[in-house]
Parts: sequence; structure tokens; C-alpha cells
Amino acid sequence: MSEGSSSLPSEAAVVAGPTGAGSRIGGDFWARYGVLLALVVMAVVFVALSDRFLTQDNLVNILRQSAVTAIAAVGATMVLIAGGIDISQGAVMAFAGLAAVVIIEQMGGPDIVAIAVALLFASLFGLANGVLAEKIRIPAFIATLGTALVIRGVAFVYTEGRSIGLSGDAGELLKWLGRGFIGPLPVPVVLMIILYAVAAWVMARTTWGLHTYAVGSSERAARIAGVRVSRHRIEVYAVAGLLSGLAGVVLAGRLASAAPGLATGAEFDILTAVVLGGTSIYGGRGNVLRTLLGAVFLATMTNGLILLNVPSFYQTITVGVVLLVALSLDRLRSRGSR
Amino acid sequence: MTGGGTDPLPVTVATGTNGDVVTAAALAAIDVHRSFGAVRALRGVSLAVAPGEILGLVGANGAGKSTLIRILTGDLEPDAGEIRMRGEVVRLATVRDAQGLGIGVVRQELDLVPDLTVAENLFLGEEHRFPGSGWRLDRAAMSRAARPLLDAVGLALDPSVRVSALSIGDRQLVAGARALRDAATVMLLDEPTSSLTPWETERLFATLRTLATRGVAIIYISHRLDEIGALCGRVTVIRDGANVGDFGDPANELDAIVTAMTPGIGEPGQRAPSGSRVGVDEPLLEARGLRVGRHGPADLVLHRGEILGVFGLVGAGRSTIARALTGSLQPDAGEVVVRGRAVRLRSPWDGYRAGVAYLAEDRKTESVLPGLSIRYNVGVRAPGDTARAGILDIGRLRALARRTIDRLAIKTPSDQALVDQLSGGNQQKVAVGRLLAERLDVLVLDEPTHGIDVKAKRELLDLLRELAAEGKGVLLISSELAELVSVADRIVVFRNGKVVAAFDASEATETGLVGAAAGRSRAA
Repeated sequence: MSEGSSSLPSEAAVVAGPTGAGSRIGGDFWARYGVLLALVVMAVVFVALSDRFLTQDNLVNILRQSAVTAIAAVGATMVLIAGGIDISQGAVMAFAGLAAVVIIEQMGGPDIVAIAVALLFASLFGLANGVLAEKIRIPAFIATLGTALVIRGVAFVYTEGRSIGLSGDAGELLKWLGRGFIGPLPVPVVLMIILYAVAAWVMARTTWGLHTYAVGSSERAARIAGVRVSRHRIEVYAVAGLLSGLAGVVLAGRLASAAPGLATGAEFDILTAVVLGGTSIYGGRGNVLRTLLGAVFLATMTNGLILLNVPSFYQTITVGVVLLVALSLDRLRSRGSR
Repeated sequence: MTGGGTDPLPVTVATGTNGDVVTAAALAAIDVHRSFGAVRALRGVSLAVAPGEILGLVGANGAGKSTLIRILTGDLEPDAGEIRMRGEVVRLATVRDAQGLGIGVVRQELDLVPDLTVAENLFLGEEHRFPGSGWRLDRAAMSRAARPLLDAVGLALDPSVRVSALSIGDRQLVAGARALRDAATVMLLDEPTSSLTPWETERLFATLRTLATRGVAIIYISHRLDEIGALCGRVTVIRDGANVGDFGDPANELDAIVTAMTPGIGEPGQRAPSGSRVGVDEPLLEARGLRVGRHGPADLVLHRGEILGVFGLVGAGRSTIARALTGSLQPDAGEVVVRGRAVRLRSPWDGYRAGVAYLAEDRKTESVLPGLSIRYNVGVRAPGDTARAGILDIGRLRALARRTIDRLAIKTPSDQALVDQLSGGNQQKVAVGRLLAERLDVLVLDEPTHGIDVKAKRELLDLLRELAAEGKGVLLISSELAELVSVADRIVVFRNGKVVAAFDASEATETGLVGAAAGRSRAA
């Protein structure tokens, strides 16, 4: 077992195997287990303070609430590992959700086509992010901020700012994606689990995943080692766009409607989840599966604060503080290793 | 000089620097020692420069010049020895200390801020402010104060012009003017002409001579002996961190200076006979009139089964041409020819596909992938059969990494260890191992033995011979003469981006190589 699991690049790329971890145990320990530990401590506190926390309904609810963020966070993790950043994710989610609803509701298109077109748009937005950041060499934060404004602006213009609902039994498949169940688990949760399994495999077992780590670790070294850095990063941005689109479609399905202002600021929840999971915003280090823990942590925190009747403005502050703590830990760690 | 470290004062310099000179000197370094970990960069260096004197400081790569400059400018403190100005011991703990004492420096890499104006650059950190106000900039006063500084270096430009609008030569002079701002009694210049045109160089020299007549002491560091001969009244040569000679008439002693600079070659004759080469006449990689920026045109041919050594001093353009040969830089003119066919390599990826790969000199930023394990550093391109349809075969990847570890004797607990955790020498081996993992015909290695210990160096060089015997071509860029002479079949020498001399290894002499590199070429 140790042989099998330790041969995963996700392990090898983030932290050394058992033999090499000694000198950096401090940083690595918190990167690997910090969020899990925090999650457990927080859960214990909530269990103690609220008898409604530890119920099956509430736990399933937490998972469902984390699903949309978690799905988009897969893409964000890949982008950060590759040494980029994508803050257009909220806008892409809104656009994709809206596109699916508009095609079903206003154009009478079949669900499957609506979803496919929404995902296609989202991938193209991701591609555009990649080209702007890698070919035109606009710093990724600014480039994706620009695309976010354009995308959301177009959505506002098209809908004149109104939200569009799915009427009656239109959009069955879309609603199922957002609200359906498979056995005891909500469809978004199942989707999330499958997606994380696939992403973890891709990052650990394919040259694509390996190159994602390599270009984030050192752009210049990766280039000289014969990796096509720009091209690879563009692909990563496109995948992130696709996954933002998927998150947006699921969100629209859950709400059975879409609006141009949907998922405003979602990119910051997503980034918080990713950084909580120990992925470095400086590139090269990170792990997809731990991002899932980060997303669940955030959803649990929000859920618990609601159960304890903490006003929502305080929740915003809490998320901000958590993000800053996670970023500080990341900074301290990357300073130590350089 | 072996006893230099234990000798008390006074100075133990071989020539020139007697007590009077030290007392009168604008700046004197006396028996200065400095180590970095186990590396002894300076083991007892002394020099002295009098007011109004232009002293040349020369030495081959790694002789310790840079360390000495950093000590004289307050960037580093010596482990032992002292610095005196006009006979008085001074302590240069910070760069500000040195500036306060009137020591100005013009560095190789210009530390000007391109988006600020000339005046703003001249007074960066020492801005003129309105009297009685701690923060309001007095631009007019700065412009007025800039004028005499610019005049002193012979620049007749408007101080409110942005530095980014200036030519490299003008920037060099602005940097000189800033050095003067620190009321320079001593001015150090470190390879200031490496990017100047001949005309700009002449102008700089005229400025320096004028400054010297006003009593400024100048220490001029350069690889270019013709410049040293033209400018300096005296030359101090250092080698391996110690003084090896002082020359009072440099213009007529250039050959002796070359000899003094030249490190001795260890283990002569311990080399594989050139006769072992296979496929001698099949050219694998050629540069034809290759030109990149101010480097070139360069012409060279690497044959199958051959190790072609490339020698040159820092800034000779060896790495630039090597990059252009392997796709990591685009040439401005000329051709790269692989196995007889002209190719256009748009990226190192193209290079790998053509069977040509480059090992960069800067290990930290351009060769290893920090945060990744040895296994993935070696197999980052998933060479050979380690991946199928983009899916990694972890077993084969592991086997590849372990073979590499064995073959290169990399010291590591496992192939899973992060490359960052290895010593520098072992990191270098990992980087070399990456090239060996592929089926490449041509390896272009830029200072591959830099910073690795003697034993590892020997192993690596033996490995290069093996590779050549297998029919690969190896282009070996190195600043170590011993290494080149012991392993290469032929050696070419670069200067100003051109091949200025070529030697068969059997007839290469150390003075011949250093002389050619420094511009004292006797027809090759």
C-alpha cells in the first residue's frame, strides 16, 4: 500500500515521500493536514454549540452547499498550480448558467444542447483568458478581471439586468443536475465526487498533470526542459473555464433560474477553498483532493454560523479572515522553501 | 601565498604595495579574506589605489574579483583583513557606509530605474527637499544639482529626461554620475563596457581620465586586456582569491598579465585519446553566421562522437549562441544546421524533437523544477516509453529515475525526494539526467560542472566521454581550462560573440586559450 500510494505524483510533487519530509516537516505538516485538523476542530465546536449540526440532513446539506464552489475550485487549483490565476470564474459561471436557461426557456432548445452550448462558451472564455495571459502577456489577474467584466457586462445587456426562470417542467435535465438525488446523495455532490476522482488521477497520472506542476514550479526551467509552457497554460485556463461553466450550469439548475448577477464574488470563495487546501498561489505546489477539504471547510463554517444565528455580514468577515490566514501560511511556507 | 592567512600585518603582497603606498592610498585593501561556506573566495588579497590613479583589476572567471568589489563597496564584510582610506582603518558594514566615505560604484548590471528621470535617478535615496519640509521634493534643486554631475561625466542631456529614453552608453554615464554623487574619492567600475559600442567606450575612457586628473582614484575591472592596456597605469592581477602579480606598465606587459591570470592546469595528459572518436566527419550541429543581438556572427561545427569545448570569459556570448543553437533563443540572423539540414527551432521543445537539448548554466532558475521530486524532474517530458497516450507509466518512470540515480551516482534517499532537498551538485546531476533520459544526438551543456565537487566533476566528465564514444555530440561550455583540456577533442574560444580561435585539444595551451579569450590572440 505504501508503495502504491507513495508513487502518486500528487504526493511526490507536493511533499517528499516519507524519506524526504524531515527537514521541512513544519511547513508540510500544515499544508497537508492543517485544513483537515481545522475542519475537525470546527465541527467539534459546532456539535457542542448546536444540536442541529450533526444530523444527516444537515451534513448532506453542507456537501450540497459546497458542491458548486468545489466543482469550480478544481479548475482554480489547476490554474494556481500552473502558476496562473483566474478571477473570471464567477462571471463565467453566471454566463454559462444564463446561457443554458435562455436556450431552454427562450429558444426552446433541448436541455442537452443548452448545457453543451453553455459549456462550450465557458471553455472559449477560458481559452481567451489563456491567450490574453500567455500570448499577449497581460498579467493573469488583470487579464481575467477584464474578461470577467466583459462577460458579465454582456450578460447584463442581454437580460437587461433581469433574472430568467425556468417555467413549469421545462429544463428537467438542468433541474436534475442541480436538485436531483442519486440514492441518498444530491446529484451535484455525486458530480463533485466523480470530478475530483478524475482530476486527481489526471494530475497524478498523466503528462498533462505533470506539465501543470512543471510550468508552475519554474516557467523558465520547464521551457528549457522542453515543455511548451504557454500552450500548456492556455489549455489549463480552458479547462478551468469549462469547469466554471459546469459549476454555473449546476447552480442554475439548483435555482431553476439564472441572472446576470449570479455568483458575484464566487471566485473569492473558490480561491479561499483552494488556498485552504494548501495549494500555493506562487505555483508548482498543490493538490486537487485537498481543495475539496477546503471547500467543505468553508461550507461547514457558513452552515455552522447560520445555525448559531450569526448575522451574514459577520460571515463575510470570517471568510475574509480565513482567506488571509491561509495566504499568510502559504507565504511563510514558500519563503521557507526558497 | 600559502602562508598569507597566518601572516600578521603588514601587507604580504608580492609587489608594489609597500607601506607608503598604503598610507597615501585613497583606498587600500590589506590581506582580505572571505569564505562562503567551504568555498574560500578570497584568501588574502591586497590592493591599493592612489588619488588620481587608474588601477586595473583583472583575473579570470572565479578569481574573486566580484567578492572583492562587494567588500570594497560595503555589500559584504571580510572575514579577516582590513580596509584603509588614507591610512585609516574604515569599516564598511553597509553600502551606505561606503557611499558616506566617498566610494562610488558603477556595476555591470545598471541599477537605474528606467521609468524615473535622470535627475530622480541621480538622487534616488538622497532627494532634495524643500527646506523645512520633510517630504516635498524640490525638483528644481535636483535638476540644478544634477547639472555639475552630468557635466563631470561629459553628458549634455536634460536631467528631466526619463532614463528609459537613453542609449545604453548614456545610461552607463548616468550611473557614473550617480557614483560621483557620493562625492566619490574612489570610483569602482565593474565591466562597464560590456554592452557599449567602441565609440561609447572611448567617451567613457575620456571621462575617466578627466576624473583621474581631478584626483579621483579609479579601480577599473575588465576582462578586456586591450582596454586595460589603453586605460590603466597599473594593474593588479588576482587568481584563486589571491594576488599573483602587479604590473606597472600594463600596455607593454599584456602577455605577462595573461600568464599571471591563467590558472595552472591540473592532471595534464590524463585524457582520452582523440583517436577514439567515432564518425569523425559527420557534422551533427552547426552554427552558420549565427547572430543574436550584439553577439555573433558565430560559426562552429560539432561532429558525431566529439566533445567540442567552448571557452571564453564572462560576457563572451557563449551562452547566448548556445541558446540560439537549441531553440531557447531566436537568432536574428544565420542558420542552425542539425545533421546537415537547416532547421528553425522556435522553442526548446522543437530542439528536443530535433534531437538537440540545452542544459542551462543557472541551475536555480533554469534547470531544476523546485517542488517536484527527482522522478518528475528527470521524467518531466515523459521520455521514451514512460507514457502512452499521455498517461504516465509510473513503474517505468520510477525505473528510469532509478537508472539515472545509479548512473550519475546521485546521492538521495529515494527518487521521491524533492529536488530542492539535494545538494547543488546532485541537483546538477538530476538536470543532466533529464537530458540523458531522451534519445538525443546533441547535448549542449553550459557550465555543467559549476559548483559540484571534484569527485562528481570527474564522474560527470567521464560520462561525457562515454556519451561521445556512443556517438553523441557534446558541446561543452566551460570556464575551467583543466576540464576543457582534459575532456574535449577540440576547443573553440569565444570573444564578443564570435569564435576567435580554435585549438585541437592536444595543442591547446592555457596561455593560448586565455590569451585568445582576452583578446591577445596569436593567429589560431
